Amino acid sequence: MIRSATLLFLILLLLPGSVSATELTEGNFRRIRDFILPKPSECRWERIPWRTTLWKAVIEANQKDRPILLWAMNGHPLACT
Amino acid sequence: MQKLAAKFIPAADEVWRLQNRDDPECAFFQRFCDQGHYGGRKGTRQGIYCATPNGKLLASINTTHPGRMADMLRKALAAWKKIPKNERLWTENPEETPDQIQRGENLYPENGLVLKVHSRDLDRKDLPGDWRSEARNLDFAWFEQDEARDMLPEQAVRGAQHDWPAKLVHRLARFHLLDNVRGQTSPYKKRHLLEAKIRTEIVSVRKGIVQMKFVGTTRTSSSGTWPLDRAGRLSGSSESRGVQTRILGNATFDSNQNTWIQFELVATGIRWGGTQYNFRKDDLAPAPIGFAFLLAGDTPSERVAPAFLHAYRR
Repeated sequence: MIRSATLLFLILLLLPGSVSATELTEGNFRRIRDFILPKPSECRWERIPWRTTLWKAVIEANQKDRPILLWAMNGHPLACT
Repeated sequence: MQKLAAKFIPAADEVWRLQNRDDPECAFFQRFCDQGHYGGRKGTRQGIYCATPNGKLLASINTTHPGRMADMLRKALAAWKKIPKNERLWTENPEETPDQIQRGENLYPENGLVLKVHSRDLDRKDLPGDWRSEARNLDFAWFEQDEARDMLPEQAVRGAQHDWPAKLVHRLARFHLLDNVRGQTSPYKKRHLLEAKIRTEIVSVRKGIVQMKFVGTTRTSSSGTWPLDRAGRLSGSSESRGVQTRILGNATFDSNQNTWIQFELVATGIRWGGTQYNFRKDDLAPAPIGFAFLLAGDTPSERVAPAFLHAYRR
């Protein structure tokens, strides 16, 4: 209960006027956009040519006689996990 | 790792569907997933699996540790070599596109607007020096061709202004302006939507090329009782979560070809609270967050369905 009250107080304190710390303007648009976007070092996993469905890999693996490597997550690993 | 992975046909896919549905793709996964690292217990089967084309498990693990991952791949390759060819392949080739396989990707909006949605914490100096300081996430936002056209005024002339239809801006606010930076979270329901508005202003029109800018605001908030950790434990107190943003953006539309040449939207603001799987239990206070929506390409990995596509029409 105390935590909820503290949180509510902080929310009331911060809404809606104090978003200025991250206020988006045309002047800082590009800087903020670039900060949000992934850096090359964060995209190394994309170098593996992941097939986007298990079934595509099953078809191809059967044709090529190769084992399947499946990365299965809650949420699609190539999108939101 | 890449050399090892090259010996396999690599695939990435969403596990809940594979685990719970009964089409041929899901049935294939269910042949071996219970023999893997999470076999014998309730809950998710997420992780990394190596299997033969006909569904025999070779090895599996759920780790982000490169060394353990490499060991698992080597173990899988050793097991693969021991299985005769006729025992690792299908006796009859599987169908390339069985009609029964129902995936969100089947609904990809050809000729529509597909955006890559990036999220990340902003301006934080108080984050712990671990993965949480670099956490980010990715999703896709889909708009059918006619929906995307509704982002523009009927008469695209310089200075014309137009408010996005409610269902489009609500889609962004409820399903995409979410605090998923550290992990999956839930979408917002209609009743959690307190404010959502995006206005388009035409900047220039030349030979059918329409340049525009966007400005908007959103605010979502919900409260109630829900767990804040993966174990599903309730704290005994009421929880609250929400996101408030200001939006700016710009885009270029080719009205001759009816295609988007460029599109970018940035939303910044604050988030507060947490949910069961988004790892905010230690970070509930209001803090800055940012989102960037950029035009996606047309590669297979950019045709993955939005996480909450199933809820778009609700």
